[in-house]
Amino acid sequence: MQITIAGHHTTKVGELWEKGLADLFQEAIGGSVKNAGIDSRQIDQVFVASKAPGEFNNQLHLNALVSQFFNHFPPSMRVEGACASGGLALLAAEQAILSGYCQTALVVGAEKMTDTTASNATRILAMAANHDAENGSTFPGLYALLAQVHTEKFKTSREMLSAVAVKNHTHALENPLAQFHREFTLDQVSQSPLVADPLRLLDCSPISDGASAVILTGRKMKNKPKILGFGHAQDALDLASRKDLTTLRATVQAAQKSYQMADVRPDQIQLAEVHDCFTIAEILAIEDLGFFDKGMGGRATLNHETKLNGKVVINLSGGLKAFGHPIGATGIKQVVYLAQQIEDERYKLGLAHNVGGSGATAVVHVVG
Amino acid sequence: MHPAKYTRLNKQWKSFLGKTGQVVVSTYIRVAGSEHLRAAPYSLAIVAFGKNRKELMGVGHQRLEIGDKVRCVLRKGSKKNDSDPLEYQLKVKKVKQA
Repeated sequence: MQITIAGHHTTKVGELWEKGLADLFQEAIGGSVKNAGIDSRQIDQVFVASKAPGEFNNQLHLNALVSQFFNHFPPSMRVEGACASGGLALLAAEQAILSGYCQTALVVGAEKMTDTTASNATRILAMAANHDAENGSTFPGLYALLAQVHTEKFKTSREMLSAVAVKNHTHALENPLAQFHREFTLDQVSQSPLVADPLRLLDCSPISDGASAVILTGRKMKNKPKILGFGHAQDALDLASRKDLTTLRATVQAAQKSYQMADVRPDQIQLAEVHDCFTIAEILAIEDLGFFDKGMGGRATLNHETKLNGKVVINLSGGLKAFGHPIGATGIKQVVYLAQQIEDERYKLGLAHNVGGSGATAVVHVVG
Repeated sequence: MHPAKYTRLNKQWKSFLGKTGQVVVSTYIRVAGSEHLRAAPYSLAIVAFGKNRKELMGVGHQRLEIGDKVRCVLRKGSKKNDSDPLEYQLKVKKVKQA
């Protein structure tokens, strides 16, 4: 497989009052084309990721909106898979390139989430759950259920959950694009207001605006990061239909596929951007991706094994927790961050893990 | 909820109404979405009814814990506005603490 990341760009993430959805798309696209150093007419196909622009911004038909930013109106389609929209859009582009349908594709994701109230945003986000089978659920609530099960079975402690948030906020201090540049202590996380027991406010990723874009190509390019492998898997949408709530099966399967395609083992991954929409989600991820034994993710985090210079560096960008979670952009900005780290020669092999809903969809990429 | 969807969901009530089950896992939701703001805080639990499992809200502000025995009951659902028609939904009520 030969897919090169020719160019990339991520906008600042946060509450961006001055920028609308179209502005975010344009900034990410312009930045990625400039970064790639190509003529934008070389883009054969566009893949657009966004979770709920109809609900958040009264704007649908995003494929046409984005195609219109180019003079040559490249064919464009929108991909939606809840919080995994970005990862799935990447996958669609990769499949298009590998099939020979196109040679160079732009993948761009954006979400403009802060123009509504927190309770309305919570309602919109909950639309990614099974609306009939999970009435009354919220995403913090669903991940709280997963946290309760993990705690019950593996004695995962409050301190272990808090350690995820503390680490990711510390990592984000070095990321100028991150939504938050503030350190927290274990006590501050552990004493923040309860949202859905046992998850607290500082266990949760924020509501964010932002966009991210990558240009992928099948053309051979030297000194550019490559997509070495990818995997995608599904599980039941509602938690009650899952066989095991201590693991996200879709993550396990997507990871296995990506490792196999890239011909690497989990212990070779140096840097991973994982889907830490909630602190428990990072603990589940680092176990399900094979970095730590099942039940040991919390302990490993508390023991600083996932920090900068640890056994495997998890969410150096700050993750969803502190870099931010502009949903449609998230899976793309993970890969962009890895590409930047590889270009800067800080790391050689990275992994991106993007999850939709409470784990029904998972997409894993290996970048090197 | 859309009336047509409400009618379709009503047809599933008889499968669970009056049945007793056991809480597999539960959380207490304090920050709800706009649809359920007026109900918060409330329990959300996965309940095992024999081999079947279902996610259900607890009645009122009752806190449910793992292992609690619960009964499936019909209760008023959440309303966004006072002028909205009354909706009923399946919830679970604790009958015996774990």
